[in-house]
Amino acid sequence: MNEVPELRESARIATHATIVPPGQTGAALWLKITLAQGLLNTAAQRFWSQDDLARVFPSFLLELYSVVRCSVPLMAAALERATELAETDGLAARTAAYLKQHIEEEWNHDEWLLNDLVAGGMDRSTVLSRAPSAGVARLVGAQYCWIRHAHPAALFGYLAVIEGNPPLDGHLDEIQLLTGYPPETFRCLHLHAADDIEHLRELRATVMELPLSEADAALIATSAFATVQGLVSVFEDLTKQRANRE
Amino acid sequence: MSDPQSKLQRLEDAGILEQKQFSTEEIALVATITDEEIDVLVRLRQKLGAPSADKNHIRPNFIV
Repeated sequence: MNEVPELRESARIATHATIVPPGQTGAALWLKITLAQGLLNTAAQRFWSQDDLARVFPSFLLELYSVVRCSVPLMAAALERATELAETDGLAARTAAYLKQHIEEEWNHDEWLLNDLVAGGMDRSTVLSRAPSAGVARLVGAQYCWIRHAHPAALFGYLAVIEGNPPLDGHLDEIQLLTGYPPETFRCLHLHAADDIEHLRELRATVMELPLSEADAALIATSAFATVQGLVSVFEDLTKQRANRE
Repeated sequence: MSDPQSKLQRLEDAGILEQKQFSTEEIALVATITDEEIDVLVRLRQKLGAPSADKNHIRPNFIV
């Protein structure tokens, strides 16, 4: 049962004026996520196209590690809450089933990425001791808020955005060339290039089949939009850090 | 609440979608996007500026 009904209520109000065709709630939600994702592409493209990518790339890797390191614990928190709700909440039951599988798929990826960063010359203990930036904390922290105080299905919005634009092998090769980092730094990223396309397909199929009320769909859309805004801010912060050092 | 066509036009005018890239079914679903949600998308587009004209503009975000 939701412990903070006003949050669910506000989500309901946000969509009260729309009429979603029967059986189309998941598709309508995915369209909103797709549109938001398109905006993130603009920010990402700007980041990857900057002239001296090599100088900002180490900071990107550290931010990326922070996000990856937060992923399984975040999903575990959502799984725990979804399991608590699952007996009387069909959406929570579906959320729990998805997360249980996805946690297994993402398990240990932080360690793989850490090994790749060390292979690229970073010091393991320095990477491990670095606290997540304010931008990453805002990005991930919002999800804990919705998981705890709205519904754990909110995390679908985060996952859809964050896994929504997997890297292509060719682009990773291009980044490697531009930054001068060794191929070992990109092992985990290349793995994602292959896996995330399938993950996204699974996620889309899951979202399309979720038993969503309009309020649930609005919550997930809000989560997706906030994730896009959060990632845009992280990209901007990385670029500003570089500019401030100049 | 604005009508579906005006929502579509607003999104297209803001550079958030191109009708030709979406199926008829997807276009029909634009009606389900609330005015508040369109506001969020438009504000973000305005903040980001225009997308690159480069056709190869799809780039990876955080890869997790």
